[in-house]
Amino acid sequence: MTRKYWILHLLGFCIFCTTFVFAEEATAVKQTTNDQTYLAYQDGNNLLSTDYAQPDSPEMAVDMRSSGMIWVVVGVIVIILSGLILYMITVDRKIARIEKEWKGKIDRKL
Amino acid sequence: MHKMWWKILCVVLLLYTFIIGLIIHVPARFVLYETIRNVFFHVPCWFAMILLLSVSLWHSVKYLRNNGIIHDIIAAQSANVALVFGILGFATGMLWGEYTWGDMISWLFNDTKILGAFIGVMIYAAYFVLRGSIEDEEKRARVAAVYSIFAFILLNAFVFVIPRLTDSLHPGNGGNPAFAMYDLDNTMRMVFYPAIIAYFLLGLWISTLLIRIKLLHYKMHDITLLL
Repeated sequence: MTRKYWILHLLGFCIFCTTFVFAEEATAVKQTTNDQTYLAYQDGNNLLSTDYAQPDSPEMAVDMRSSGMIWVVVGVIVIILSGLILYMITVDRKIARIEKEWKGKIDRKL
Repeated sequence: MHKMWWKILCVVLLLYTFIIGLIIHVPARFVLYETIRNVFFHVPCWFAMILLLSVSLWHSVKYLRNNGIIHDIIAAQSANVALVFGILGFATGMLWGEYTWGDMISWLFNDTKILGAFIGVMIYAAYFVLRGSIEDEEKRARVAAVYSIFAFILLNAFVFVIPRLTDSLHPGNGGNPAFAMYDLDNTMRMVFYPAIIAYFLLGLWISTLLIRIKLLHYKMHDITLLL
C-alpha cells in the first residue's frame, strides 16, 4: 500500500467537509417558500400540465435542502463513487503487478 | 506507480463534480427546475465521448503515418471507452427527457441532435464490427484507421453541423449560440468545466487500463510488436 493513496482519501474528505459550509449558506438564502404553489407542483406528475397558474418564478426544491435530506443523496453518491474509484485503483495495481512479472521474461521489443 | 498525478486529479474532480454539483445554487427555470443539474452529469458524457474519439482519431492518423501497432491499440481502446460514454449519455438523456420534454422514445426521431448522435454511435459500433471481421492484424489496423477518420468527421457533421441547420430541443441548435440558452451562469460553469475534465480523465484512465491489458496479451503470446 503506497502512502499516496492516503493523501487521496484525505483530499476527498476535505472536499466533503467544505460542502457543509456551502449547504449552510444555501439554507440561509432560500427560506421563502410559497407553500401553495409547492403543493400544486407536488400533485401533478406532469410538470408541463397547465392545471394551475404558473408563478412568476419557478419553484425550486427548497424543502429538500432545508430539511437536510440532500445529504443522504450526496452521501450515497460519494460512497458509490469512492467504491468505483477504489475498484479502478485495485485493477490498475493488479495490471501493474502483472506487467512487472512479465517485464523480465519477454522484453525484446517492448 | 508512475504518472499518477492526473489520476488523483481525476478522482478529486469527480468528487468535486458530484458533491458540489448536487448542492450548488442553480438558476431557476421552468420545465427544468432542479433537473438543470443534469448539465453537470449528462452533458459531460458527450463531451468526454467526443474528446476520447479525438484521441482515437489522433492515433489513427499516427498509425497511418508510421505503422506502429501501438497506435492502433490506443485508437481502438479509446474508441471503445468513448462508446461506453455515448451509451451512458443516451441512458441519462432518456431519463432526463422523460421528465422535461415528455416522451422517452419518440424524440429519438423528432430531435435532430439525438438522431444524429444515434447515427454517430452506430457508425462507431460499425467500427468495431469492422475490426472484428478482419483477421490479419496489419490489414485490420490500416482499414480501421481509415474508417476511424471517416467516422469521426461524419459523427461531428451529424452532431454539431446538421442540428444547427434545423430545429432541435437541445440548446445551441437552430442557429443559437450554445451556452447562452442554458443560462450557464458563472456558478454553473464552476462545476460544468471541471466535470468535463473529470469525465475525460476517467475515460482516459479506463482506456489506459484496456491498452495495458492488450499489451500484456501481446507480450504473453510472444507477439513481437512494431511499436
